[in-house]
Amino acid sequence: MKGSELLVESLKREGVKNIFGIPGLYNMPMYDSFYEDLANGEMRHILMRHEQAAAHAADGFARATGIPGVCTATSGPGVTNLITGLVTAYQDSSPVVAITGGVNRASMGKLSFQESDTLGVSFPVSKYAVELRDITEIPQWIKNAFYVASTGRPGPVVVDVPRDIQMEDIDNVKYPDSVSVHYKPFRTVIDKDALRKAALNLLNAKKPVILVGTGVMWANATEEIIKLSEFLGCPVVSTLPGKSSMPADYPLYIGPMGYYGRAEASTAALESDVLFAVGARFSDRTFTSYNEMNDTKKIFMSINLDPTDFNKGINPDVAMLGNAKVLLNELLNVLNTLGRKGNVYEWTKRVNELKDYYSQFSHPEDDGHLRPWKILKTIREAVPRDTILTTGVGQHQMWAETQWENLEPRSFFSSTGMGTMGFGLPSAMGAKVGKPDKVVLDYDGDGSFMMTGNNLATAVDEHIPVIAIVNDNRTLGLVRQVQDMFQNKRIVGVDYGNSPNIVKYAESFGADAYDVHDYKDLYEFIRKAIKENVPSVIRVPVNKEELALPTLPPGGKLSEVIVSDPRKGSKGAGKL
Amino acid sequence: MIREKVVKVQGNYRDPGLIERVSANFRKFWVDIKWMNVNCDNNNNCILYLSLYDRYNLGNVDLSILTLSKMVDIDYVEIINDYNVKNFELNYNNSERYEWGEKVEQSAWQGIYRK
Repeated sequence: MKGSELLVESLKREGVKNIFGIPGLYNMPMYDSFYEDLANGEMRHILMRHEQAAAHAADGFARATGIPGVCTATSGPGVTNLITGLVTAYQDSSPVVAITGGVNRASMGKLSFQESDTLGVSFPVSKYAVELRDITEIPQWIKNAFYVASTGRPGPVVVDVPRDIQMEDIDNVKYPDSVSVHYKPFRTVIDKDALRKAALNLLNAKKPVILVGTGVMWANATEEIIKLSEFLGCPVVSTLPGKSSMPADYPLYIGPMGYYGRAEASTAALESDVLFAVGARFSDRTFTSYNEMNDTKKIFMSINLDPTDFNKGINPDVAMLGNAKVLLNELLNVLNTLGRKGNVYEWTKRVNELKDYYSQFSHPEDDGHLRPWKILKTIREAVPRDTILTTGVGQHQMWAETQWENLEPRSFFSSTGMGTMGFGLPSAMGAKVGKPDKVVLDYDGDGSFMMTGNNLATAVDEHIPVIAIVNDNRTLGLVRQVQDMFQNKRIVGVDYGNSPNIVKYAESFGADAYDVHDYKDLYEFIRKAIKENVPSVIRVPVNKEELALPTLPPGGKLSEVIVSDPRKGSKGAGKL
Repeated sequence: MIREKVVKVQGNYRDPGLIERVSANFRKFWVDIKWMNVNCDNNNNCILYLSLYDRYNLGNVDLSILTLSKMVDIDYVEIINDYNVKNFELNYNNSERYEWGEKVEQSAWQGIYRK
């Protein structure tokens, strides 16, 4: 058996059926070894048009299915192209396994053709990276890689296999029964005292808020969050990626808080007397000023898998370490034992008041252009409840943050930690491969879409019928609005010209393409794209003067939120 | 705030990337390494001693230590509170020197650093 065959067999033993990648000299032996598996349908290879997109697709697959996505690249430019996708998965805790082909062992370090020091460039952007030294290591390290990627805080793992190891022969293969790596997944600690303290804090709170993060999605703990929220009558806010944990139509869910989050969610979090973060790190995107939060003197409580997250900016008064689902069930047991419910009538009234007040700003009137909130409302009406929506990065992402209503867990994916433009289309493709029965949309902007838009060719070739809805404003809108609002209108280096025509661009790949003129068009084109079940691009023209609101001044506090367009005479500050 | 700490790190040696990752961990937090001593045995157990220094007074030393402790291949990180360091000393009689990819003739530097 060749090393490359052993590699493929080891992947199959981990349940791998889909690989996103691009072959080259150094991973070619592996391709040769899954030739029959592709022919008989046991495995599927999706030939991407850029390795960054391969990593994003594996990431999208992982987020949609909950199991690691697999990508592959050759050494040199293949590996370095993967890096942006890997760091994106790392920041958002997504389990990706990257198999890279390395140069022959004898050539290493000699500036040989396409040698890029895979370990050197992978270490800082992955949970782990390993370069195999011997053919016998293959099965053990493939097993280890999947274990490390998917346990604890999930993340990307790189396994670099030199070409000559793939070409070697081996007899008497021994497949491992267990992992063997110096690594421990984080513990779940059932601390009775902490659980009781947390329960009492929640019951005694006058203004409790639950802050939900992505940890809830990975732990499949949405049901427990809703049980807790209902038990206490407690409003729920989320981080931006935590949106994927909460159905938007759950009545006590206010929405995502933070830099571009909903003002009512951020204000409720600020005004709360107990803030209970579950599966959420207190990131600088959610709490834009730790001093502002600490100054409120509220009680902070946290359930988090990663103990180091208790030491970043906010030190919780009650810190519970472990899996969100397990610990929430324990907490619910304690609350039931205590036998009383929260009394938050006045707080509920206040939260409703905040919602009512801020809703006037979130639905601005028509101004002759298509408005993002109405675009997203139209999309929502046109697609099934369990539709998956990914985004690129930019203004459209912020519009989706506040206005897109994802109605089921694991149905909203965005590059939130890294903010990687170009994430939308390939991650949607990965999600569609993982969940072929669901409608998968990439809600994108023209700047972001064009960074990986060439992968439309793959969507067409491989029949991955995603629908990209591209907000076309011919500018890097989020940068533009900062220049406009906070840099004395010195708009520089952001406006694009007319090239390319997005519709013709999409058509050139063989995708269906539509040009929207009004909301009715948008609705009908989406319905048609779903029915046709082929890769489609729907271009939606958006005014480049449109702002992503709410926002904050650079470095601003949540209380400095700007909810309406200050260029139109409003003072901008939206405090109730 | 204590700006300098000495730590002992036990890790699994697979390749020199272990040292690279330990160093990079502190670099990312802008924590300086004043000195380091590394010893690995035949069973791939490595012990690293490092003196960490918060040159820029950012208060990141503790978080950088915690973060290192959750890295794959790291068994533990121990903060040493009471220590006594003796200077590293290596006695030798013969050596070759290289600079910028070239061997430097002994006559050009002989005797300067020999101990």
